[in-house]
Amino acid sequence: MLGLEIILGQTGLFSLGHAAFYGMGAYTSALVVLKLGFPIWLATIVAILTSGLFGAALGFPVLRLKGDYFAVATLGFGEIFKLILVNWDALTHGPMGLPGIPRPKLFEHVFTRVDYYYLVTFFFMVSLLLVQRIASSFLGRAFQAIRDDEDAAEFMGIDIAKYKIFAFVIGGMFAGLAGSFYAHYITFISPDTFVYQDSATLLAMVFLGGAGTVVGPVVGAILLVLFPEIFRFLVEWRMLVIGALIVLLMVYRPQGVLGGDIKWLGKRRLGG
Amino acid sequence: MAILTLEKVTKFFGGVRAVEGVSAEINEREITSIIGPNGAGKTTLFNLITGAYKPNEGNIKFGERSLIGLPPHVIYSLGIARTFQNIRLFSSMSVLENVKVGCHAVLKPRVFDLFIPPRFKFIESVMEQRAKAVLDLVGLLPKADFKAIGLPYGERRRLELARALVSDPQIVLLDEPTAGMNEAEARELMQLIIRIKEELKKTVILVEHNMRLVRSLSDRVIVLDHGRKIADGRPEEVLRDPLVVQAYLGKSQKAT
Repeated sequence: MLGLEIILGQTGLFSLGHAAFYGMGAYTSALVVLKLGFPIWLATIVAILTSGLFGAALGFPVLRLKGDYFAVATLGFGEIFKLILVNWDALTHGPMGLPGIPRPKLFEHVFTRVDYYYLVTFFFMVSLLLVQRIASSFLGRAFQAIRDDEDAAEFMGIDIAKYKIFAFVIGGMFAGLAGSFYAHYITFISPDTFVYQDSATLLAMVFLGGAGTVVGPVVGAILLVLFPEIFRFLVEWRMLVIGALIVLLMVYRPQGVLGGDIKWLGKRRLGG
Repeated sequence: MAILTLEKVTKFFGGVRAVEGVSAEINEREITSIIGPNGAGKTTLFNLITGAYKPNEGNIKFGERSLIGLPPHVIYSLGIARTFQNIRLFSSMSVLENVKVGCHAVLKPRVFDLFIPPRFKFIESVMEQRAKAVLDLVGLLPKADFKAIGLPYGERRRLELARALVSDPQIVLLDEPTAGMNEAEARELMQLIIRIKEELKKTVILVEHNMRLVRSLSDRVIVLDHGRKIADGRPEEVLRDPLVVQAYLGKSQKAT
């Protein structure tokens, strides 16, 4: 989700295939542990690198496209990724998924759910700081310049293709990290876990919270996870109410909950 | 001395001859104005020089180096910066950030520099200094933290100028810098352009419709009409040239 913030929020590239990076991270991590016997920490790093590499590989052909065309191409990429997972039986066990992925260990201590919670929180905070750093650095400014006016950015000496690929690589790496954590937490992954639906949910999180801010997508994610829980008492009306709420939010705050200028957060946009 | 040489530059768009066989030598540390009626190919010429288009024929040389086929960001980093006829700022960013973007090509920061604190601090602080210096020059320093989109029109033009100057280019191309400005704003900008030439020792090429400004500012005037060069020389001579009067001044006496 934070990875998508870099791609979409900062650089303004509308990617519908982000779940594929996430899935890539999960599968890579699971497979190198199961098949090659890598320690999990190493596997996580491999997962991050693979997803990043894939971001670059996808970047080269696709980044020439703009706007809608770009979104469609990434959608296609997500679908291809899923089909590979389903059909490459020898490696991925196809639709059966990969069971029995071990939990991480530290000094012979197997992580429990609670430990895992702290671990994920820790990495989440680190990632958040990293993204904040990127957003407020020269790199973030290059990304934002591309988002605001691609042609002007090019005339101002920004190598657009290079920075777009960077955005993809960084975004992919974050997704790879998340995917790897997910795989070792749930201990079972299958192609159904990483579908277009998830890419769409991720996009919704970014937009709802406020694209272009660093904290916004986090808020968006919290809202999208909390809403269904809060409205559990509405039983079958639940999704209807949530849908209506999201529509309302988008109508009255199209820039997202934290998007744009918010007085009480200071004059400077968060992460701007 | 010629810093920029155009050799029989030609550009077609389908059947339209936007620029046809234009040759010219732009002298170093002079203000050269390119004038001509609407559609004469002035902006196209800018786009050819800055790499947005590739000419169908001819050559453009910066010093001894040909610019043909180089992408815009490389041409920018060689030292040719521009502004746009219709202002194109990075609207969601602050004034200061807008200018800092222009520093990329000079400092060439790498992604890994993000993780090397001394390098990171160095890059950010150099960008900050440079950006603030040019903002001071154009008089926008007090507004450094404002959003670019919130500036009044005249200040947005000056911000664009600051953004073009921050990379310390040798040549600055200004596409109708006074368009939409009132007399007072235009005069102020004129002073600024003179300072860019005199103090910063830059070569300035501008496209301009304000004849009074062209007359008093330019060391040299090139006149285009229907994509062809019809006159080239000192402003007082060129603006008296009957061909020019017929093609340009005769039709738009109101504007002068």
